[in-house]
Amino acid sequence: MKNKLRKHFKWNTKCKLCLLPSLIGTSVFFVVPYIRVLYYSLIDNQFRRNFVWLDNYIKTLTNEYFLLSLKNSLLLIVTAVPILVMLALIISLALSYGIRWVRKTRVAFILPMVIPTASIVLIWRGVFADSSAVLPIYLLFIWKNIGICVVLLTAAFTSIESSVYEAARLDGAGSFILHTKITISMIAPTVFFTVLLSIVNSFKIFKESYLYYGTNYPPDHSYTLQYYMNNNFLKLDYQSLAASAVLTSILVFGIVMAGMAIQRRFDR
Amino acid sequence: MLYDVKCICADKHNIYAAINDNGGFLICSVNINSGAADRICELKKLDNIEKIGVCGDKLYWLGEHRSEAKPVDPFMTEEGVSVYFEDTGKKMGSIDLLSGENVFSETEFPVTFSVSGENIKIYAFDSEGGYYFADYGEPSAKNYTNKLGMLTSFEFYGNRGELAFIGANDFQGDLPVSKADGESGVIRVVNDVYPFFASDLCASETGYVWLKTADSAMSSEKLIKRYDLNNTIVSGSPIRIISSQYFTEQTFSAGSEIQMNQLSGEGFALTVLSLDKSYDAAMIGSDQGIANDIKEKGSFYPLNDVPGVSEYLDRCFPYIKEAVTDSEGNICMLPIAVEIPLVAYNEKNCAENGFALSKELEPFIQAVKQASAVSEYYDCGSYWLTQTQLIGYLSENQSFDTEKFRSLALLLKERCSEEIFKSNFELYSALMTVQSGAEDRYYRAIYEKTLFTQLLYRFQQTALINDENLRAAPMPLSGKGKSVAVCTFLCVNPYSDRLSETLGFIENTAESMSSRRNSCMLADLSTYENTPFARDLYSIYENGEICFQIPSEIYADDFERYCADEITLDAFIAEGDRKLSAYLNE
Amino acid sequence: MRKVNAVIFTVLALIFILPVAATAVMSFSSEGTPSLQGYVDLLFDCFVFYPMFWNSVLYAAAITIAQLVVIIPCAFGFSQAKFKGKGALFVFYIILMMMPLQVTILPNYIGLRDMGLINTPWGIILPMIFSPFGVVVMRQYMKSIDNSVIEAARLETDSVFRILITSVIPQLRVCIFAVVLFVFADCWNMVEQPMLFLKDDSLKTLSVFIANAQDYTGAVLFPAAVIFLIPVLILYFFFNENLEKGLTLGDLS
Repeated sequence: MKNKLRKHFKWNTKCKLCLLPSLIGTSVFFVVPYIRVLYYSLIDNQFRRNFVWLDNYIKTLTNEYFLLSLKNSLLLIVTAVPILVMLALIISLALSYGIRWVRKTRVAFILPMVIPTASIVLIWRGVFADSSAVLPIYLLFIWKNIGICVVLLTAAFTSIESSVYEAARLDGAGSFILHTKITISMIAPTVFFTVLLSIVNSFKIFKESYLYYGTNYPPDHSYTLQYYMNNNFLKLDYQSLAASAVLTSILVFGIVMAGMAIQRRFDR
Repeated sequence: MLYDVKCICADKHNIYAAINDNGGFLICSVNINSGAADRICELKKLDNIEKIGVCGDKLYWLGEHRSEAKPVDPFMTEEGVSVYFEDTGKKMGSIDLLSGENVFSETEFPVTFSVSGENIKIYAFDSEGGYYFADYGEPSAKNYTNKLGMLTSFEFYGNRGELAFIGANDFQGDLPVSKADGESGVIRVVNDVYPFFASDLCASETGYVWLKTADSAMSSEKLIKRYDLNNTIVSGSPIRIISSQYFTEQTFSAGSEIQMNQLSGEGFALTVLSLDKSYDAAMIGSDQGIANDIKEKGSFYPLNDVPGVSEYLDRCFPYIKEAVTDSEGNICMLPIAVEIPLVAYNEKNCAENGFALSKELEPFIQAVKQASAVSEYYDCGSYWLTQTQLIGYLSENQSFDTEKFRSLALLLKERCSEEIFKSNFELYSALMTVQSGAEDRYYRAIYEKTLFTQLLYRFQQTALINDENLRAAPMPLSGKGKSVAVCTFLCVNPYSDRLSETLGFIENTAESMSSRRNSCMLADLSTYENTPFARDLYSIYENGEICFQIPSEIYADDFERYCADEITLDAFIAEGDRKLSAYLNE
Repeated sequence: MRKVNAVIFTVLALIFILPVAATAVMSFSSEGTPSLQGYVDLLFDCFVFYPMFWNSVLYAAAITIAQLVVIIPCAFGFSQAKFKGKGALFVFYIILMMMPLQVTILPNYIGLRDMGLINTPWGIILPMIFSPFGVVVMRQYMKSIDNSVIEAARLETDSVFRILITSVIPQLRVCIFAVVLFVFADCWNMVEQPMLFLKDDSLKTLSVFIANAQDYTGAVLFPAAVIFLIPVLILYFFFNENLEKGLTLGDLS
């Protein structure tokens, strides 16, 4: 018994050690900057460095433009991400179970991922004729991120072991419904993860949006969090930037926690 | 006997001269004591002799044989920049004073040379390394340097190996100094000097430099001025200045070497916010959006205690001092230049045609309209007119949705009429040519008929300061009744690792700015020329205001579209207000 | 039914590929007429193009390979090790992944400057190796491995390294290829870091070149964009074989 315990302990320690390189690196290059940002959000000025604690947060939360940008970013997440994921699901289904010909078209969905921003924006502007509606940006976001979602989901589909289906069939049951149920439950974590990833990528669409509108002050409906942050950066007001970043990360934390709670319930 | 003497030099006993002689040159000597003249050597087939110098028992000459000019490959630096050289057939040689024998130098592309004690230093070019310094006797020991460019002449002064030179257009109006080691950069030590020919520069071992110069770039009155350059070069590392836009106004370096580095908007913000140690100062214009942000945030070193700064600011116009002092009384920015676009007009011609320029917008536009009907000899572009009016408006108002703006916009829209508001570049050339005293009938005729022309830059304005026929009038004033001025500042980085040197540089700059003539910043009228044009200039700059401007991307493009009838005034006001509100309230 | 599906699908794929095709078409035209002028301008007159291209390849390859070495054990550790706060740690990784670039640029710059890594390739490579993105993705995939296989392997050997090589990695082959593709594409696309952390043009990447394409003479934007696509496409086709195999629902030992 003792031996078993010791063996387990040794194994556990070894596994913990596996985490070490990543932990060290991430701490140095990501955690430390995050703590720095936290620190900057609590002082009044990069140069004078007096602590003002929550003043910056209050200023940011009551700033109408921060709220506008938050609204726009959330709108993008709530609208474009579900469409993206659903579209990706349909495409991945077709790719995983479809005929050979269909599978060959997969490369078409990968390409948008790597096309450089500068050239695609020119084409997008040509197509939408400089329209200042918000639709072009949403479409660009969906178009660009379809690739990563499709790859993730097809990988998930195809790594469902056939043995699972075998076992279920042996237990006897209607093939199609069972098949569907099993599939859904097996890919649910990946779907959840894809949604999360798409939310992260919705922040990155700033580059494209900035080039599309060509200005620091786009129409109100496209003014997202990153515009708020970037403009304050250029105005040398790092405090607003830091406070809004911390607030955003708290928001994200909330979303992730909610998602994980949903997933846990789903698992049951 | 009269001779056509091209250039001279002297040693202890004799004066040597190069005399024009039927398609060649004759080198002669005249004994100082006895007055006896002697022929030394004939140099045939030379089109020009630029310089002669004597050292020991040899006389060195630099001349041109234009038909022997060869094409020269440019030199490509490591960064991929090409350094071009145009050969005009220059040649160098040495003449033995005893035998009269001439020996050509081996240097293929000499540019100029200088006698310094026992050495002859030449400055030349080759395609392998660009420009270089070498000794006459050792042409293969080359010190390459591409920091000086094309020189007309250089002379060593003092005894620390420093040289002053007359250089290319980059150094217009300044006397630059450097060293011949191939590494030193350029320090501008004296300003407002305009030497032209190689022989206009002369120096001595005791550190004095003589220049044949003038009071302004185009003045025909030449003077000989002497400068004491002892201890001018401040030893030490260069002052590193960053900026996020290109500045034409090179800061007067007051003895230090300046390294300008232009960064992008993000790069600039990153450098400042990260408290970077590796830059010493930032150069900012009041027309950049961040200038106002910088003033309020106290990001830069307060200069109140730097000796000379307060005194300098007190000697400037009050509005300048006010602009650089923040709400707590700290002076964080040192103003080094102020610019107000204005109109120079010929009083007589305008009166003859029966109109007068006005300081109010509407009458001004009417006057220009009148002028367009009468003559084509005027220059008034519309861009600055609009800019100054919009900037003036925005300095007082936070929104475009006012009656005042609507009427202003309607007025300004008229300025899009290209028949009325146009540029005529010939006028400025004509003014400058006549100023310089050059005989040019074509330009003289234009000059006589000129009504008025816009002068946007200070160097243009001070160049014409001695013209007796011109007067100056401001562009239409802003709502507050003042002319909108753009000011360039230097801010000192408190985290620089060379802070004390930088503060020394600021001190030197403030001191030299305090005694500058025709600066357009100092309030003392006696530092300006005593001409009507100068007095007009003074009163225009006295009545200025520095507006810290909002980034033009907020209104400029949309206003253009309104004037081109692509959007309505209401649409412009809505867009403009939206962006303005975002900018002010973010 | 299948045929209809196939047609619909092809149309969908065409829509997606249209902008890419447009880029390619624009690269071969110069002022309305088909010509190779853009490519000539790019390949013969732009000297900076070649070092920038190789820099992109080098940085992306180095980062991808190094990331694999870091994240596979890390994800494995997350799935196997038991300790308090494991969930919280993982959530923290996710939050770090979410931080927008505008925010992290300044502290990253300060950190890198203090380490003396500004204007060196390591300043770009090192932070990206430890990007939490790879860990999060890999961890998700790790969840799908069958624990029984691990148990069986543990009976034979105690070395984590051996277990990873023999049991875990083969199972996750498809997933690893997917992660490699993402990470490579991510690094290939990065623009802000090379632009702001590198000062010498000779160290910068192709993505920066394209972002500044208007500074160079000639219409080099579109040809450069087309060339930009090629390495990732190559990577994709290289993996496609393996991804295809994975499509037949199961490839297990």
